[in-house]
Amino acid sequence: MSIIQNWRLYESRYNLVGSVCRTCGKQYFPKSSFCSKCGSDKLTDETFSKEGTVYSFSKVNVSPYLFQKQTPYVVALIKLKNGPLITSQIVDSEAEKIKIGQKVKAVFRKISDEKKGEIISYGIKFRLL
Amino acid sequence: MYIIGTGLTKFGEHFEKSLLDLALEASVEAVKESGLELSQIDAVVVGNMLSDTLSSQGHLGALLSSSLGLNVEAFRVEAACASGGVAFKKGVDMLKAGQYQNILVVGAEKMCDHKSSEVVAGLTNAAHAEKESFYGLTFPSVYALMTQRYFYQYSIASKELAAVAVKNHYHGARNNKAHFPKEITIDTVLKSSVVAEPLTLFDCSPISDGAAAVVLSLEAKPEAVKVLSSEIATDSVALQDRQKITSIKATKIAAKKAYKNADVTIKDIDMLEVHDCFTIAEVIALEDLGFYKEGQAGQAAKLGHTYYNAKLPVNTSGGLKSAGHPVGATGVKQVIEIVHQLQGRAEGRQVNKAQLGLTHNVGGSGATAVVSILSSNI
Ligand SMILES: [Zn+2]
Repeated sequence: MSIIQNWRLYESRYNLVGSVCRTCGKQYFPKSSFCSKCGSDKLTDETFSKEGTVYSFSKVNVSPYLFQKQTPYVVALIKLKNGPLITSQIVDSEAEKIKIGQKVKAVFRKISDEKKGEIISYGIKFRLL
Repeated sequence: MYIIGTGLTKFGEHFEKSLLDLALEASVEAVKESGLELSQIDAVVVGNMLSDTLSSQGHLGALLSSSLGLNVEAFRVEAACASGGVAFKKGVDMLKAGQYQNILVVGAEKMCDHKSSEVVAGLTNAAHAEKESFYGLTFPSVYALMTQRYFYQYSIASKELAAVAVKNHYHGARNNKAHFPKEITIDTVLKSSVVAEPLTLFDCSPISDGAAAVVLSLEAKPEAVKVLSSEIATDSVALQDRQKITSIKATKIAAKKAYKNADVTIKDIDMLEVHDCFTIAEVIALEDLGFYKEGQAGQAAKLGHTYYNAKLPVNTSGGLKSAGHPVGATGVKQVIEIVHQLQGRAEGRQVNKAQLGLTHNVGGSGATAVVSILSSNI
């Protein structure tokens, strides 16, 4: 992902900032400029809760090049408290202990290794509470 | 409109052949079988996902049509693993529009030339780059997330999924075009290495080379197969934006339209080729297509209901699992399997008295679905 692509998303990635539709209330992460539910373009920024529950998860053993140093790792769908369903990883936790419905908390982490000549990507991962 | 010719390469590792070689082989075979001259082909539609990522080659429409000696309208269609199915549907649409008489639809993919890490990265482009791939989600892990949630909501486990792979390999062992034409056991699946929990290597379709082609025509000939309907629907690319991850809404919408436009119900359908890129995908497909209630298709293969000689034959070609999954070719290969079954050409896996068949091709984790219904009654 290019430096500019990363820069465009940094607020969402670093601080869990997404969007809320002012017309119908639907939440988006990362930020969105258009509501696919009601067709409104009146969306405003909202910082979502750093807590959530595990909606689904998987321990990945076969990974892409930029993730090989952290393999195996656990990817997950997290339902944020009063927020949307988002995609991330669960770290600092024994994979065997992860279950659907468990509470998790956001932590700030390096996401993947950098491609030569590109910047390091940081963002939010989660750990079991 | 009618399918009047089919051409299919063997699926597998074709180190001696290029993407174009494979596409030409399938195309020439299909045109020959149709009884037409190449000069009677009015347009060429190519389904392919990865040629620019892996082979540094775009512009496949002109590449193929010119190599066939044609100067007709030609273009490529990309919809991840549904590229072939979408290409087929576009061919049908173009005939419906009335501008053309005969159209060649070709699905082709070349994957085995490349390192598996490059292929994995290319396939991951089907997922949402900013929402999924960025966080290390791979294609198998996206389906693993669906599987884990499915296991949580319904009472099946890895053993039931393994039975899907066993059944598809049983069929593939009877298909000489299959990439891995050999039977396996439940243990083969359960004891193979874990790719993304809970999916093992044998829950996943392989990386394959191959091409498939059909000639579509407004005019029937003896042995032609009629296209009753072909429909596409779409949904969010990222799992996180779906209403549910234990079913695929795009399949439900495409199927509903396909049944309506073909004027058939599921009771009329004799056999299915569904998109089993992972074993869980076949289970979910049988539910979304309406053959089982949600959460209840998990036992189908284990109970033997979906074998070629049972009540609902599913993936008699061996599916993506055993026949192989050269992504762009898959959707067209599914059509060819149904055509051959309806023509009584399926040899050791021939379904008894099949008259109506359905194909189901999915892109990504379900953001695109194509459902087509074919009939032997012309
Ligand atoms: Zn809205």
